[in-house]
Amino acid sequence: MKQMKQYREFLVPLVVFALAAFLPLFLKTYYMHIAILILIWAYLATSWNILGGYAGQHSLGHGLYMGIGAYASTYLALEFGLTPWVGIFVGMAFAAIAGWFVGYAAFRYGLKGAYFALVTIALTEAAVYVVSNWKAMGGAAGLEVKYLGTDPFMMQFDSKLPYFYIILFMTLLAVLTAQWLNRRRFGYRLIAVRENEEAAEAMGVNTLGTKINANVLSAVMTAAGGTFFAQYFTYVGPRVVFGEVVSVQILLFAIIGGLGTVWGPLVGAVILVPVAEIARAELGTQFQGAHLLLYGGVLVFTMLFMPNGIVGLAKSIRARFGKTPDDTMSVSASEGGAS
Amino acid sequence: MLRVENVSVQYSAFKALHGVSIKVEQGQIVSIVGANGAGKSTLINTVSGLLRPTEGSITLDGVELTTMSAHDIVRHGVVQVPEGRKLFPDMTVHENLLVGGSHKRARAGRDEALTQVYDLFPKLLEREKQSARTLSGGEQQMLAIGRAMMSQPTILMMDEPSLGLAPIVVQSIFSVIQELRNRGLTVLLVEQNIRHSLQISDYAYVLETGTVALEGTGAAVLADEHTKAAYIGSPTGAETH
Repeated sequence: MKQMKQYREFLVPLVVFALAAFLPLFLKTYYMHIAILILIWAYLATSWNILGGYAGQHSLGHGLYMGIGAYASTYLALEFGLTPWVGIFVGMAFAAIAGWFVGYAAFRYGLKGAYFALVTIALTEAAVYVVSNWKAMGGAAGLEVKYLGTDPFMMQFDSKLPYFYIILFMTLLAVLTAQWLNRRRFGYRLIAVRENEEAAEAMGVNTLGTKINANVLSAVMTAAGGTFFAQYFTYVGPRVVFGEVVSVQILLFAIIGGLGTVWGPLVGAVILVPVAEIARAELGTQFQGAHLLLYGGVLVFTMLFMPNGIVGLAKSIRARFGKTPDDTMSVSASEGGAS
Repeated sequence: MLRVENVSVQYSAFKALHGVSIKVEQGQIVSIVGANGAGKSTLINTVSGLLRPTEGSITLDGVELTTMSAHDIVRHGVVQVPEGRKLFPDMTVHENLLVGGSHKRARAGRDEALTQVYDLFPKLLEREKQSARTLSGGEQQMLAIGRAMMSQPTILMMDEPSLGLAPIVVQSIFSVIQELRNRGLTVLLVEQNIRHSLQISDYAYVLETGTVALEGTGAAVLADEHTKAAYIGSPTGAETH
């Protein structure tokens, strides 16, 4: 019985993604491109959400891990002809090491909230300058993925279709991971750390270890997204994959969609990426950066009117019209939680 | 079994505890009473490892606790029910309990511990799937106690469990404490509800400005003139939070 229930929670993501697999039948090339962009950002935001949403540690420096993944596979392919199918795992391994060090250095000394965010921005900015001055990594010009036409072994295709399925599969894995965390001990620990770190520690949760592990898992997943990003755009540059612009964009979709929810990052990306792309296509020539302005506006709106994101809003609406707890019990939680 | 010996704790410029020594024996209810700011919570948080003493030692059956991290101390069987309960408000009752039982030693007996908690607090079972923030004050306190029990402790330390609760609920919390002792737990109780806690205590310490002013059996401390004058007779002995 319990076994059945465990399968059922994975059923929804599996069905949704199976349906999404038929999308290419209906989409023209340009829309395929948008679908791929949606999935890239959904994937990255889901990866970020494990640390930022579940564990409540808002990293503004996930560009660091994305860049490590993108550069590692691209460099190894150019220099040693290593297939990105292997390179992706090398990048993930490097990101794991980086994620461990960043997590240990920051959390060991109790950095929280804005201070943790600042340190992560500083680190990813530092990475931009390091890579910009690193000749083997192409310096400021970056690295171009060597064009090979369609070469599945080197993760290169002339058609968008294979890219779509690769990133769809990766996003499915990320969503399944989030779903898995939702019901597992490690996930509970992450949320306990977010909700009341001192209480979690007092209850026997190794909060330092939990946060470091969350950072490592999140970093590893993000790095894989970096490799895909590099293969799809066939280019990596310091500002493109490292740096604060991508770092902020990664978390945008998670915040707008719903922090700490399984579907939030995907929903955020599905809604926002097309709008931003249309803004870029329509206004981009006269009005550069229109899409960034749009992101800013939507972010402010979300923070003001639905701080729990779209999925959070949907949940509370459902709770309002669904079962309500009995009235005598609706004591404010400030008593129990906030102190 | 628990020995706090000559422990001092300092918050930057302010010394909260000066050479405090207490003993807790197996199966006892031991109370630490005293006014606001006497250092009661500081003592519990120091035993928990959330604060570090500047001097002195804390041992459990001879094992030094002061060098352990807070989560390791829980693994060794000492856990606290924090003041103000500090639940995880957006998690369900069941999830709160699971966090309490998440360390390695507790995992083995988790289902058993869960049954015990639900047996002791049937209300929690009823509300298993509700988020903690929707519980009443008394239920939240029960959840906090249940969550601590999930770690399968040998010593349960409770920091002001009656704080902010209606008198009738306070009554039931105190009978729960006695029930826990009857089930073999050792309880270290910090309270401002002095009369009530002394009545159920085997032994008690009165803390005043960071030192032990008086100790003795619950009944003896309750009968002491100084205690009566300072805490019980006067209205300021009531909760002043």
